[in-house]
Order: sequence, then C-alpha cells, then structure tokens
Amino acid sequence: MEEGERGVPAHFQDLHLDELEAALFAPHGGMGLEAIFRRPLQDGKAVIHRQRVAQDLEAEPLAQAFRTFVRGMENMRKGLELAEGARHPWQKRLYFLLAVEAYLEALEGLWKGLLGHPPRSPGLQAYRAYLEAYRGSPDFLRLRADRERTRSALDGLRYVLHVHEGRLALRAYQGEPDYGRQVAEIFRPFFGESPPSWQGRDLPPGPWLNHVEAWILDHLALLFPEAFGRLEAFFQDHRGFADPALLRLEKEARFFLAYLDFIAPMREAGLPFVYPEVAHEPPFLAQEAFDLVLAAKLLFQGSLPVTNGFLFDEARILVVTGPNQGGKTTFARMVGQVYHLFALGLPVPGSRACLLLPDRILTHFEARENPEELRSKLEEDLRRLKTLLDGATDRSLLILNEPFASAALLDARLIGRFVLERIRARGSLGVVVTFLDELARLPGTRSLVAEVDPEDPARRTFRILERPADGKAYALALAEKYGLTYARLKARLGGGP
Amino acid sequence: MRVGLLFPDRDLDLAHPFPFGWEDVEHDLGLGDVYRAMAGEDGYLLEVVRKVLAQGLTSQAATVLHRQEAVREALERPDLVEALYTLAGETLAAKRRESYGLFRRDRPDLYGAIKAMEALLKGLRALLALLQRTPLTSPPFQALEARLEAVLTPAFFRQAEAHLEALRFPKGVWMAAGLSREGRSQGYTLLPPEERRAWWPFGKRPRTYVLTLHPRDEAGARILGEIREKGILEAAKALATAVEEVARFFESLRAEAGFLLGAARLAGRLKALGLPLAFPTPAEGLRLAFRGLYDVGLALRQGMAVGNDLEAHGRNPIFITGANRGRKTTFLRSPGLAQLFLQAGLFVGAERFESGLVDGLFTHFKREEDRALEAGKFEEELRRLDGLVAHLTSKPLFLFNESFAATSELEGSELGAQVVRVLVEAGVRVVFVTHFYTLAAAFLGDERTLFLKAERLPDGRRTYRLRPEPPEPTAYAQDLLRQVFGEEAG
Repeated sequence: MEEGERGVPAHFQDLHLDELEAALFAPHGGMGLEAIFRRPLQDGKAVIHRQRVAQDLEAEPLAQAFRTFVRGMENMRKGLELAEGARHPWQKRLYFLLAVEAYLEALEGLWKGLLGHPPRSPGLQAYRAYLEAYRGSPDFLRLRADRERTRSALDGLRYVLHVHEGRLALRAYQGEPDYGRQVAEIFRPFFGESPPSWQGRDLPPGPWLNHVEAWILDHLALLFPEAFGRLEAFFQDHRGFADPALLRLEKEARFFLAYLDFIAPMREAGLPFVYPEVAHEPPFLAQEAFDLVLAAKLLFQGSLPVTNGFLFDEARILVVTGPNQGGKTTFARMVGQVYHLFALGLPVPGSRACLLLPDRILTHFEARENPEELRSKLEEDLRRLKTLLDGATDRSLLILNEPFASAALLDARLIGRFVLERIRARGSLGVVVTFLDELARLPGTRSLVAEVDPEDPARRTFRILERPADGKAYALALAEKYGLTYARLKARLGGGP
Repeated sequence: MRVGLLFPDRDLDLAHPFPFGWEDVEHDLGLGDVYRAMAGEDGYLLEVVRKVLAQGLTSQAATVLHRQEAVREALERPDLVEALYTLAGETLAAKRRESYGLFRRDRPDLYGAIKAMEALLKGLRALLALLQRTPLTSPPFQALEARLEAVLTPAFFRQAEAHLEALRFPKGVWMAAGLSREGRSQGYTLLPPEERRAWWPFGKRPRTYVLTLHPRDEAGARILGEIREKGILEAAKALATAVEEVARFFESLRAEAGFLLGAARLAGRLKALGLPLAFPTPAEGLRLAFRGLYDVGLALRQGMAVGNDLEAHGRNPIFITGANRGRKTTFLRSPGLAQLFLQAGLFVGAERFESGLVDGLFTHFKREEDRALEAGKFEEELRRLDGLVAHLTSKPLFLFNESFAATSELEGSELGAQVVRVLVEAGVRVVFVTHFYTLAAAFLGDERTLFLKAERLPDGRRTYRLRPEPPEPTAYAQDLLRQVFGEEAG
C-alpha cells in the first residue's frame, strides 16, 4: 500500500478516513488501533471471520461485558503506570495491588458475560476456551487468593492520629467514641427530622504522597508489620501478572467496540448498517449508503445525511456529473469508505451490500490550485494518474474526483477519454467525478447525476441518481425561477397571446 | 425548630418566588400605599410584607384562621411584636459579625461557628425570657413559647456551652482513620479530647510514633493543618449546620414578627382615621358579601373613604358598568385588596367581609401607554392576557378594568364576552369593569351574572356607591362634558 505522511495511507485524506480514524480511536489512545484500521484484509475468509466477531460484539449483553472488560483493563494499566511512577516504596506496592484488582475484576466481568451469553463466532469461542483454562490455572488461582488476603489485611487497619502544634502522633485505634456525633446530637432539635447534608467537597488529591503522608505510611508499616508484610510478599510474587493473550484480546475487542460505539447513535437515529456479502462476480452494489464522517457531523447538528446507492455490473465505471455542491464528492468518498470498512470486516453504511474485496483503493482528488503553474500542475497530475493506473488491477477500486479540472477544456476532454479507456482496459472498478458530460456516454460507464429539486432549482437534494448526463436541466430550471427563460421573459416584457 | 406565628405547620419561606403577574397586581390594586403604611422606610420589612401578601393567594382556611389569631395578638400588643422583630434582627447581625457565610467556603470554619453559636445562644436566652414575661393569649404565640421551653432547658445551655469550649481543642485534635487504597488516611472520625492517660488507666501505654516538624517546615505545618481540618470536619459540619439552622429560625422569626408589626402599624393608621376594621370570614366556593367595604389604599391616600355594601353569593361574573370617572376602578380595587388581606390572614377595611378563598389573583387593567404605541395597544393587551392565561391557576379571582377597550366596542365586546365566558366556565371568578354596554349586555339574561353600577343622584352628582342595576346603553360622558365645558357641550 502506498503510504503518505506519518504512515497514513495516501487515500485516507481523500476519503476522510483520517478524520474517521481520529474520531474512532480518540477514546483508545496509545493502544495502536490505528495500525489495524490502516490494514484492510486481502482474504475474503478473513473478512467473514471478523464480521462474525463483530456480530457477536453487537449483541448487547455481550457488548456490555466486553466494554466492562476494556474499562477494567484500562484501570489496570493506569494502576501499573502509577506503580511504575511512585517513588515511595509502599505506595508503589499499593498501586500495584490496585492494578491487580482491576485486572481480576476485568476478567471476572468478562467471564460472567461469556458464560451468560456464549459467543457464536469462532474467534470469540477460541478466546472463551482460553479464558476458561486460564481461570483454572494455579498461577491465576494463587494471584486471586493472595490479593484477597492482602486487601482484607489492609482494609482492617484503623489508627489514631493526634495533631497538636507541629507535632503528629500515631498509634493503633482502641475503640474510642465518635465525638463529632455527640456534638451533632446536642444541636439536633434545631435540625428537624434530618440534618441537612453538607455540600462542600474536597478536590481530589494528586497521585503522590506528601512527606507527612509518607511518614504516616512508613510508620503504619512499623505499627502493623503483618499487613504490610503480606503486601510486600504480594508485590514480589506477582510481577508480570497480566496474560499476553488476554492483553491481545483487549486490543482486538477495543477495535470493534470503538467502531460499534461510533455508529451506535447513527443506528439509533435510523441510519442503516449492513455486513456486506463477499462477492467475486458482478453485480457489486450497496443500497442506502452514506458518508460516515459527514453523518457523524450532521447527527451532531441534529440532522441526517441523504443516503445513496451504487451499482457496478458490466459497466464498471461510475461517471458522476451535476451541479456543484450537489453531493458528488461526498458520493465518491462514500463509495471509498464503504469498500475500506468492508475490507476491515466491519459493518458498513447501507441497508444491503454485496462487494468485491478490493486489492487496493486508489484515489486522486483534485485540489484547485494556483493557475500559474498550470502546465507543471497538469504534468504532475498526469504522473500521479499514471502511478495509480499502473498499480490498478481488475480487483482495484479507483476514485477520481475532478481529475482534470485545472486543464483547458480541450485537454481535459482528451485526457478524460484516455484515462477512462485505460481504467476500462484494466478492468478496475472506477468512480469518476467530472464536469465533462460526454465521459458519461463512453462505453463501460454508468451515468450518475447529482439531483436538484425540480420545484426549486437552487436547492440540492444530495441524491445521486442514475440518469443521462445532459447538464442543461439544472440551468434551465434556475432560469425559470428567475423568470429568464424565453417564454417567461417574453411574457414579462409584455405581449404574447 | 419552627416559629409558626404565620402558619400552623411551617415557617414563612421568603425564597418562594412571586406569583406570575404580581407586580401588575400591586400596581393595579394600588398596594404601594398599603406597603408604606406597614413597612415605613424599612426595605426588609417591605419585602416581607410583599411576600406574605403574595403567598397568601394560596392560603387554606386553616392558615387564615391561625394567622388571624396571631394578628389579633399583634394588634393588642404592638410592643411585643416590635421587640421580637428587633431582637431577631440584632441577633442575626451579631451572628453575621462573627461569621459570615460558614457554608460559602469548601470547608466549615469551626472557630467562626463557635463564635456565631455563642451569639445565637445569647439571642435564644433573650427570646425565651421575653416570651416568658409576656402574658400571651393567642395559640400561635403560646405554642412558640412552649416549643422553645421544651428545648431550651438549663441543661441544654450548659451542655452546648461546654461543647463550644471543648471544640476549641486546647490540647490538639484526636482522630481515628483508616488506610485508603492510594496509601493516604481516610474515613476520619473525631475522637473526644484526651485527658492525660485517659484511655489506658490500667494497661500499658500503646506504642506511639511521633513526628515533630522542623520549625521552618511550613509545608509540613500546612499539611498537619489539613489533617486536623479533616479530623474536625464532622464536628465543624455539625456545628456550622446548627448555626445555620438556628440562624434560619431567627430569620423566620424576624420575617414573621415583621409582618405582624406591619399589620399592627396599618391597623393603627386606619383606626386613627376612624375607619372600621373587621376580621373577615374565609368561605369556600362562590361566596361574596360585604358591608362598608372601602378601598384601604384610597383611604390612606385621602384620609377618608366611602363604604359599599353587597351580597353576591353564587354570582359570577360581576360587571361594573356606568359613567367614566365614576371611580369604577376603586370598586374593583376594594374587593381585590380585601380578598388579598383575607387570604393573608389580615383584617380588612370593612365592617364585615366574607368571601370564598381563591388560589390566585390576576389583574388585567387598561394601561395608559405612550401615544406612539397606539397602534400596537390592542396587540399589547392580547399579549398580556395571553401571558396571564398561560399562568392561570385553577380557581382564581380575575379583575378586568376596561380590557379590550383599545379596539372598537363591537370587536372588543365580542372578544371580551368570549374570554369571560371561557373563564367563568373554567371556574374563574371574574369582576369586569367596562364602559362597553355591548360587552355587559351580552350577559343580560344570565342569572348568575351580577350587574353593578356607580350610583348617580337625580341631580347628576355621584355618590361613589355601587348599586345592582342592569347596564344601560349610555354612559355618562355627556355629564362630564357638561361639567367641564358648561352648557355649550349639551
């Protein structure tokens, strides 16, 4: 795969997959999920394997179990980081204990979820079997028992502090009464039935101890040697407790959950998602698809995207024409996104889909630039097109967005015909957005047009419809609206029958 | 602890917001003069009086009767309510001097709370003494005295003062704690201040570790201070809460005694004018009857007032028609004010007054607006009415004064009749002053409608009295014209 800056695949920016990636994995920073997202599968069986895992994770009780698992593992990681960073030896050991507790809780929750809702995908079934064996292993059982003993010893500690003028004394608690309650009791007649609750809250302290707290902790260890002895033994005995296979499970589960969480509000809003069939022969199609990134933005603003479909059959090149701002580029992006998400084994936007697993997605999106560099720009464009075309096979998806917009019309026509002919010769799937209607009449193409509202030509519907490209209906309708068609202008200027 | 002078079951809540349209009610009924008579220049008292009158709109009969008892005692003993009002105000001022806003900081200020509580205890002693040396006659005052006596025993004062002394912690703070998961202390419990060897009189002294800070360790001193604060937090919370609670009691006392003081002052003014006062009868449903009812506001302004009599049980709506300048507004104000006073548990300006309790009072009076707004006046009226209707309660009293007069008589009457019909059917008591014959005439033949008219003597003079009389198609503008322009206007 061709790689652009910072290891991001070249077509990610054109298809807004970079934005999608950022949005998906923002809640999972540092897990390296981007690498999975950037590596589409090349094998149909692998796609089906992932689709089945994803379907398991969509079913709510199991999804919840995995979400809890992921959160627990995150707490474990936080605990380990704190243990790593702690300078005070006892605090280091306490944070280590917290990390182990988070780990045990994460596994326990996951195990309960898997027991209650057995997965159907081979992928998760294998992990379930692994977890079952792991939970019975002596190492794991010892870890669990040791943590129980250590924690209960620490929780049972109770001691007395006496503060007086720069002096702090520490000793064991011996059952003295609660004086605060005695004070509250004397004034109770004024509170009525229930004393009002206090609103003030302390700010949570930072993770590290100050020197007085460190002194207290050190001397608690002297005061209660048995409890702290257990803590020390626990720390020494259980370093490296986390199981590598389960860490991998966490990462993989996060990948699916990140995506499923991202699309959940869209589904709730009524937008369809589907697991595409893996097809080897045309037709390749998707119905009611949409641009996922745009959908997320629109949903945030309280609206929904217009859905569109596409179909490749004998005609393997879709030529999209129509008015500016009519949704042509969005359509092209949508096709690319659907194929990429499909190749990751994820559910894609749409109500029905049946797709060829592409060997690569190649994109060329025009950025309108400085006309002074027209010649060199055109040359550079052509070089890029050549590279794309050279890499394309009959299993590639090529998406060209206004590829010749900066060329003179005559040049553009010539290059356009040529490029489409080359795509056809390669047998690749193509989506070409262009202002050149005539390209839509070439053999092997299907003509799609961005629709305008027949009632109000100034309004775009963002529907991309299969229709001959004439390019004139829009202009005429707009003229009608402003009363500038022949008949209207005639009538306005007086006369006519 | 409840004051309970104004309500049988709770204290006055000044935080309660005014009902919708209250400022309009105050303006339309001319309450400003009443407020001045009750509160004088005391801004706080003004607020109390406004709140109590406004909140009276939702009174039940039990509250009305309870408060009438308290008001009677206040009228007999204006010195007592004045002393209570002053004592409450002074005690609160002393408390505020010692500590303002114990709750404003993130943790309570124990030392300030101790000083504040000392001031409040002093106030409580004085209050108890004042009530005990007065021969109280009304149940609300007697009950307050009994409630205080039950709690404010000599033992209470002794214990409270002992605790206040101990809470200064002359020998430092002892507290129990446990270990948090992060290695800090948590779950602090304050322990009683320790006498020397108090806890191990027979056993051996437990193992104790001591940290003595270096005198220049300021960070350490601050940290110890924080630990100490956590230890005393529960006690400080309890004391700060108690301070606020006792202060709240004095706030309520100040407000309730203040209202009663206002009532005593108003009664004094009206009695000095030789005008009658009566404690009204709260009834249920469509009841309205009065004798010698006058406009208290007008009386305060002019030093005199004409009383009116009426029996209108079961009648709704009531239309007041007749000549312009016939003081029809006063006819609307006097029952409006009397209803407010009744519901607030006050006396009324009448020899006798009985009325069904309502749950809201709405006024829609013609506004004298800028002439430039003439065109939008009708729309303004409709917008205002729309707002009132949106906030309508279930059985309110609704006073209309020349509403819909910003449009033609035909249209205004049609709309007005529709509005009145809807309201009456919804259980709203309507009194409507209008010079639109057509509007009032729309209700001719309806047995429940009562028509009143400003009386005019045969010689054309007005008596400012109301008489039941059906509407007549002419108003008395002709009279006025003649009066103002002489014979040529005839």
